[in-house]
Formats: sequence, C-alpha cells, structure tokens
Amino acid sequence: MHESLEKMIDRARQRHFSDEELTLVSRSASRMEHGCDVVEKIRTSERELLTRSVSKALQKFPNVEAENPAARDLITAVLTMGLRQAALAMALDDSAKYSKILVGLQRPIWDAQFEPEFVQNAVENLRDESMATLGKALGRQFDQVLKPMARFLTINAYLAVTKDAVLGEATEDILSLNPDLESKFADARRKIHEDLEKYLIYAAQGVLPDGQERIFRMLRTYHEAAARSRYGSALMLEATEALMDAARKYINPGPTVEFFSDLQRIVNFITLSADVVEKKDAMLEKVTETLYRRHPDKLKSAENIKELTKRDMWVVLENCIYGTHAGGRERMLEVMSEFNLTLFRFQFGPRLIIDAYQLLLQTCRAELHGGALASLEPVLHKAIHFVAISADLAEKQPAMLEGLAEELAKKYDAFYGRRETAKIYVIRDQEQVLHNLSIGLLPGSKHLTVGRFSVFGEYLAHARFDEKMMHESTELLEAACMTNLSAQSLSHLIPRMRLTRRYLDLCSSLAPREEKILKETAEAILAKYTTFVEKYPDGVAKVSRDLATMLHTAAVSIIPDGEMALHRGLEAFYDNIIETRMDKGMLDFAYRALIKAVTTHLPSPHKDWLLPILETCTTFIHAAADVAENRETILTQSVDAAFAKHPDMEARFPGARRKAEEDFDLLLRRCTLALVPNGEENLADGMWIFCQSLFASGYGPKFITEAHAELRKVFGKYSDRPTNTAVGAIMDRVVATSAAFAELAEKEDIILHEATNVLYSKHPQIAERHRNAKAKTQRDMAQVLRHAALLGVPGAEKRFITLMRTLTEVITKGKFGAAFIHDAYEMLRGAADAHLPKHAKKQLARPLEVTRDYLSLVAGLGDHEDEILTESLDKLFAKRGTQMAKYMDVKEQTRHDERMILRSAALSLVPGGEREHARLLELMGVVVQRNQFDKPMLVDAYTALTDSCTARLKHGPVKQLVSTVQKSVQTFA
Amino acid sequence: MRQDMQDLSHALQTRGFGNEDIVALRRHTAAVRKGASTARELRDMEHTIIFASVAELYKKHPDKKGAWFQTEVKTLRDMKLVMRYALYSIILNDPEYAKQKMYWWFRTILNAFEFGKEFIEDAYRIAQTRTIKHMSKDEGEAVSQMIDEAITTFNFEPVAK
Repeated sequence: MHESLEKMIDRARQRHFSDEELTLVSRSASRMEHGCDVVEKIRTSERELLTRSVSKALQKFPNVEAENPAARDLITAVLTMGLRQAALAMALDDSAKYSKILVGLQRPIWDAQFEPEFVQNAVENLRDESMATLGKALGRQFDQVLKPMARFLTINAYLAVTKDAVLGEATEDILSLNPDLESKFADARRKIHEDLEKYLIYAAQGVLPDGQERIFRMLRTYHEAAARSRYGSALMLEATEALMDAARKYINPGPTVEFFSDLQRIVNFITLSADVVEKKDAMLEKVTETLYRRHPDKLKSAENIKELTKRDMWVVLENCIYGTHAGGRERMLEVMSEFNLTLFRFQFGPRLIIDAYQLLLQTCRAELHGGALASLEPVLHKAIHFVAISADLAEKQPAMLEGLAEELAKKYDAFYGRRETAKIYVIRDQEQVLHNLSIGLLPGSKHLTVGRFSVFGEYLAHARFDEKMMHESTELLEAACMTNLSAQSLSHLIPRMRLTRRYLDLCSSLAPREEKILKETAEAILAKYTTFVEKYPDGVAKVSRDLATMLHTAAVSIIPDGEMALHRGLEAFYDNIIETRMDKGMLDFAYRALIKAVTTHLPSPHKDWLLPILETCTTFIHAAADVAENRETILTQSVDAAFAKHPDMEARFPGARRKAEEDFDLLLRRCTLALVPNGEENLADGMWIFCQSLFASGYGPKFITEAHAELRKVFGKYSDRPTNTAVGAIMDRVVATSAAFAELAEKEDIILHEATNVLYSKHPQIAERHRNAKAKTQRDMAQVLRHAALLGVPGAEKRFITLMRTLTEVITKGKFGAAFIHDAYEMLRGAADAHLPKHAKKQLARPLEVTRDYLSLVAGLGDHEDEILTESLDKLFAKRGTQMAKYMDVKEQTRHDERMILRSAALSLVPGGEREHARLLELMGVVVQRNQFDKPMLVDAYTALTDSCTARLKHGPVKQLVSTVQKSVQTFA
Repeated sequence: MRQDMQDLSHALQTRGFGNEDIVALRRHTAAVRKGASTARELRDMEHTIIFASVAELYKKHPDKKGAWFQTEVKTLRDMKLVMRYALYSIILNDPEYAKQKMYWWFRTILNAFEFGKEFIEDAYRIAQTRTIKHMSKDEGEAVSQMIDEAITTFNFEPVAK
C-alpha cells in the first residue's frame, strides 16, 4: 500500500517537497475524493451489503449457525466494523487508525473458533458485494483498502483453529530436545508457549497496512530483553525451527501465504538477535583486544576507551540487526545519522575506525551461525562503509571544505547572492552533499537521499545560479575528496558523487532554458489540441507545470537510487492516465514536442543524459494510454474466456473471478511499468508473491496456463503495434513463467523427495552430522527451484543473487563440501528434468545448471579459501614485498580485496551477477587510482591467486572463474 | 490524524456514516488538494520571504543582531522551519500538526534565549506581511493563518523572569 501523507511529511524531516513528491499530494487528494464517494455509497447500502455477504456464507456453511447461534451477529459485527473503517481509511487516505481497529478484531475471531473457510467465504462475499455496489472503477480502488482486512481476518480464522496444535507440538518438541529445561525453570513450558504465541500473533498482523512496523516494535522489545533471556541461542534456533515446522504441518498455506512470509522474517530476526546477543561480549572483547594491540597509541586517547569502543560498536551492530527487518530500517537510519555526529565530535581517526569495524566483520563471520550471518552480513557491510567514510570525513572534511569555500567565495563573490554568509552556505551545501552520499549507502535510505537531492537540484534550478560556478563547485569537491580521503572511502563515494554531479550540472543547465523549453512545448500542444484550452483556462501554465514535473523527475533519475523517484512518479501518472483515459494522440504529441524542445535548447552533454530517459518515459506513456483505452475490454474478455473453459472454478474458489480480474489488472500495470527503470524489479517482486500464492491455491496448472494465455491473446488483439511489441514481449515472459510455476506447484514435492532421497543415500554421513538435514536441504532446494522459475521474468536476477549469497553463507558455515553440494544440485536438476513437462523444463534447465556450478564452486572456495589466500599472498610478498611495504596494512587489505574479487567473480557466473561484479570493478578502479598501484604488481597478485585456485578447486567452472578474475584485473588495473 | 477524524473513527464503532460526516470528509479532501499548490508556491517564494523578513527585522532591531552567535543566520533557519511546519499543517489540513511537532517545543527554545515577546511577535508579523505580499491571495492566506497559530503559540509569559 502507498504511504500516507503524514508518513511522507514525517520522513521529509523539515525540508520542502520535490515536484514529483507534490504529485503524490494530488494523487492522495484524488484517492480521498474517491473515498468520499465510497462512504456515500456505503452509507446507503451498508445493511444490504452486509446481510447478503453473511447470508451467502451461512448458506454455504449451514453448520456454523447450528453450532453457534450467535454466529450471524458476531460475523456481521466484525465485518461492519471492518467495512466502515476501510471506507474511512480511503476517504482520509490514511490507514493508521484502520489498522489499530482491525487488530482489535483479532481476539474475537480467535475466540469464535469459526470454521476458517466460513470466515474466508464471508469476507470474499463482502469484497464481491462491495465491487457490485460500487461499480468496477470505484470498486477496484476500494478493494485495495478492503483487501488487508480480508487477508487479516482469513489468516486469523485459520490460526484460531490451529494455533493450539501448533503451539502444543512446538513446545513439546523443544522440551523433548531439552529435557532438563523444566527442572531448571518450573514455568518453562508456559513461557515458551507464550513466546511462540506472540510470534504467531504478530506474524498474523504483518498483512495490515502498518504490519511491518508493528512486527518490528515487537522484535525490538524481544531484542532488548534478549540479554536477560534464560535461553541460549541454540535453544532459540530449535524453538523457532519447531514453530515453523508445526505451523507448516497444521496451517493451510494457501490462504495464509503472507503469514508464513512474516513468520519466517520474525524467525530470522529472532535467531540472529539471540546469536549476536549471546556472543556479543566475547566478540567485542576480542575485537577491542586486537584493535588496541594494533593501535597502542590510542589507548590513552580517552578514559575507558575500550569500553567506549565496545559501546559504539554495539550501537552499530544492534542497529544492523534492526536493519535486517523492513520495519527496522528507518530506526537504523536515524541512529546511524546520530552516530555520524558522534564520529565527528570525538575524532577517533579513520585508521582506527576502519580497523575496528573490519575486525568486527571478521569476528561476526567467524562466530555467528550461517543463517544469522546471511541476514546480517549485507547490512553490516553497508553500515561499515558508512562508518568508515564518516570517520574519514570527520577528520578531513572541516579543513577540506573551508579551503574549498574560501576559493569559491573569492572567485564568485556573489555566490548564492549573499556575500556575508556565502562561505557558511557553501560549506553547509557541500556537507549536505557528502552526508547524503554516504548515508545513501545504508539500506532503506533512498527515500531520504533521493528526496533531499531532488529538492536541492530543483532549488538550484529555481535560484538560477551560474552554471559554470555550480559545475566548478562540485568539481572542486570531487578533487578535494580525491586528494584527502582514503581509497576505501573514495571507492564508495566517488561513483555516487559523479552521478550526483551530473544531476546538479543538468539542473543548472536546465535552469536558464527551462522556461523556453516548456513554453515552446506547451504552445505546440495547445495549438494542436485546442479543446485543452477550453478545459483549462490556465492551459499553458498547467501543461507547463506537468511537463516541468516530468523534466525534473527524469533528471533526478540520474542520481544513485533516483530511478525510484521516476518509477514512483510514473506509477502515479499511470493511475492518472487510466482514471482520466487521457488521449493517447495528445500524450504522444506532447512528449515528442518536449523531446524536440529539449533537443533544440539544451546543450550537450546535458541533453545526452536527459534524452534517453525522456524517450523511455514517452514509450511508457504511450503504452499506458493505449492500455487505458481498452483496459476494461481486455480484462472482461480475458476473464470471461478463462472461466468459460473452466466453469467449475467460481464454485470451487470463493471470489475467483474477482481475483482473476484483479491479478490481470495488476499484471497489465506491472508489465507496462516494467518499461521504465525499477519497473522490472517491481514486476519480479509482484510475480514472486503471485507465484507463492499459486503454490497453495490449488488452481492447477491447466487453468493458470490457459487463463494467462487468454490475457496475452486479448491484450494482443486490443493494443497497437508499439505497445504489443514493448509490453507484449514482457507479458510473453510472464505467461511462460506463470505456466512454469503452475507446473512446479504440482510437481515440487515429488522432485524434492526424489532428489533428497538419492542424495542422502549417497551421503548418509551428512544426515548424521546435521539435525533435520534432509528437511533443510528440501527447503533450500525448493527456494532454488522457485527462484530459477522466476528468472523467466525480467528483473528477477536481484532476488536470485540474494538467494545465492544466502546459500553461500549456509554452505560455507555448514562445511558440506563441494562434492556433496555438486551432487545435491545435480540431483535436483535431474529430478526436475524427469518430472516437469517440456516448457517448464526448458525454463528451468539453464538456471539449475548455473546454480549447481556456482554452489559447488563456492563450496570449494569455502573449503579452501584460507589456504588459497595465504598461499597466493605468500607468493606475492616473496616477489614484491619491498615494493608493497610502502602501503599501510597492505597484506590484510590485499587479502580482503582478493577475497572480495574471488567471491564476486564467482557470483558473476549467475544471472545478474555480472552487473554486481562490474560495480565492484568500478570501486576497485577508484582504489587503484587513489593508491597508484602499478599494473605489473596487480597482475602478479592476481596471477598468484588464480594459480592457487586452479591447484585447489576441483568442482564447478574453475577455468571460468580464473578467466573472470584475470579479465577483472585487466579492467581495474 | 486530525482529532475530529479520530473521533469519527471511534464513533463508527457504534453508528454508521451520517450526512454531516460526508460533508466534513469532502471539506477535508478539498483542503488537502489545495495544499499541493500552496506547497509549490511557498517552496518557490520561501527564500525571498524569509531573507526579506529577516533583513527588515534586524534593521528594526539592530541591538538584537549581536545577542547571540550568528543570530541572523539562526533566525533565517528558525523562520524557515516555522514556515515549513506551517506548510505541513496546510497539506494535512491539521493545524495541530505544526503545534505538536514543532511550535510547542520551539516556544521553550525561544523562551530560553530571552528575545522577548515583542521581538518574536514582530518577527513573525513581518514574515506574515511578506508572505501575503509575495504569495498569491489564496495560498498566502492559508500560510498567514498558520503563522497566526505560530504567533499565538509563541506568545507566552516566560516562566521565570
């Protein structure tokens, strides 16, 4: 669900809004207007609507009222409450209160102990009835608000009748694994039961509009109390595993997909938190001991310096734990921003800080278990980059910016038009740029940094500063950074800074020309489309404002993560086009005219940066307008055709037709938006959720495949050629992917069963060594199968890489060995090949091969990484020790770099990994440039590394890995 | 969320929507829609309004300029914040938002610096006049009303004299 205005304002933190953000205010007002229409209609039809929904459900489940005579009143009261609050939430475009009231319904649903299918049927009836009462356009919008309530009540109805069995079995399981627990703590059984129940309650709230924040608040309380917990991390791991197993056994996963995702996230957090809290003291002691052995001169820099260091590191580590959960990222950002001030105030020096946090990372790698590390490491990595850059800036920034401001103020004495305060403002702006660039490295920061940079750029454009001066100011900033900051800081800062500089240059260049560009475009539009003038008396002003918003939003997409703003803006535009059925010809003409005016008036290179983005936007806008023309026809005809072939579906699955229409509508939207940056990832995320629900839906492959094929056919019939080519190509991949998923849903169990049976009969020693090894292997393999199928849609690579990284940690920590891993994924490939039909087999074959190769390669690396790195470094230092001695801590840094390159080169073998690897090479390029490493030395270093790899690795595409590493060195050297 | 809307949410637990609820919701929606254009105009005019206001203020009260370190720069910063929170309140159509999130605690800060009631009122009256002068009629009126709220909140008798 979209963000409320209050949330957007809270996040803005005292700044103005960008043009793109202001369009969100208008969109919000539009939603509120529709919400008022809903309230008006609901007011007069509430009673009939509810009576029909409940009666239909009671007719279908007659035993409910027989068992509980108050059933009708109770379910009516629950649905009335939900319906009214949903309508109000839409009219206010704010769900804060709505969620709170829905949470209050959790307990009555649990106590009522209704048949869950009855509750599900009643809420689905309510959605159908609302749609019928409100009409399709308004009904669909309202359904988006009703949906969380429907999901929430359904999940809780299923939980109500299963939770006792789930909690009972999980508690028994834990107590049988820890037989002395009850003799140690008399209330152990009750306490465990209570804790596990809490996790179930909150997992069931995850589907609410503010569900992730609610879950995080509970997790934070858990984490804060974890230090006083009577249980160790091993027991927590067992407890959460037992809870997941029992939940999977008793709760129907079909209608509760979101519940299982949220429960998994809760379990991940809790096991990570328990593991870190338990080892915290030992880990921090180890880090500080080593740190101050290396830096004895710093021991006297403050009283209790060791304790202070530990405290600071715990702040970072603890907030990284928070940052692993979506609901905790905002908290992490806040604390890290404050921590940045601490670093500036206390001036520990970058060398000490970098060492401290590198040691912390190494210690976490060595001490934490695989699952915990897989969640923590990506966040910790980013936090460490941020802390290291902040420490570096803390030491060098004041002098660096002072000098820069002096130079600029002297040269441009009217800088910012305020002579007396010029220097202060130069320093403030540059500080802000540096801070935003570094905080942008943290997860979940893009809303913050992109918003700030958008407003800054738009301010520069409005203030009309001298182009040359602005270019020079950021050029001086980059040069100052290159001279003063360390190679590590630069490697993360400079690529981001260059993109930001490009954006700021573009803003300055647009400023004096924008009026002309907009006026010319608006006049051309109004000359051709005269009705527009009649519709809007202030036609030129309105058109100019809309075009300016598009120009600014396109420009901001240049900065790091800025594509998010463009995507969000175009998403709002899509809704607007669909709602108002904007004229396709007029939109085409308007954006072509804009492109022409930009081409004429904007100089190179600025127009070369902007034009490709505007071209993409124009293609998208054309497609959106084309979809808008025939959307209703496409949806109705394709759903009719699908259900005509399967007339039993509506009777078997409540709300099936409405859901199909909703899914198709979402698919049209996501496939169209996939034409713009970030849209592909969004499509893949949506497909992932859709496919997860497909697994438990029971719809069967035939219906899914045919229904999607119908959508594609009807879409092709009603869209024009450019749209059918652009969006149709994406839709083809979606159709193929959903067909593969539907097949997988049917055959997954047998594939996993067969693969693991063969595997463990060949490697029985692994099953003896690891608890629940077979079940865990099946869980990992299921993830691999599903992610491999998802690779059919564009944008799925990011998810696939995340999975590969997680499995890398688990495999390395578990010391399964390359031979076992190779066998495991070869057997999985074989079983999939044997059971899937031809089209699904084709879709999965290559990703499964790549997975087998990659995982066996990294399993081998896990077995031999230390030997490979030690051997290659020894060789290198024997040959070039004297030359390398001039660089500080070179051996450790080289070891770190080589490890990174090796892992990244291995990851580049999987889809999407090349892009990540290219990014690393760009960072390495900055390090090489800053440290002025010479090429022969680098070639020697990496030759020694690849020689060791060739000698030690026996499984997977070793030759390919070696060749990638060698090519990489040529690139960054 | 506005208090009256919170009250409505509570009331809906025992009754359905009434005509007066719909009128209130529509009025609220219209106010939010207008907020976008006010935000755009204030963003574009803020620099002019604030700099002119602060220049006028210290011309009138030169003795206050050296009262604290970088008083003028800090006044610029604070006045900007007051205006921005006014804007947030306008977008949300909820005057309480600015008061709860900034004006009340800022009153305490102003008190601590002992600028005096007259000087503070003067500062924000100047800003109000400039706002009306530089912004279009409707938009300026909305901001001006929020500045009134700020002045009323800041207009206090210091706790300790």
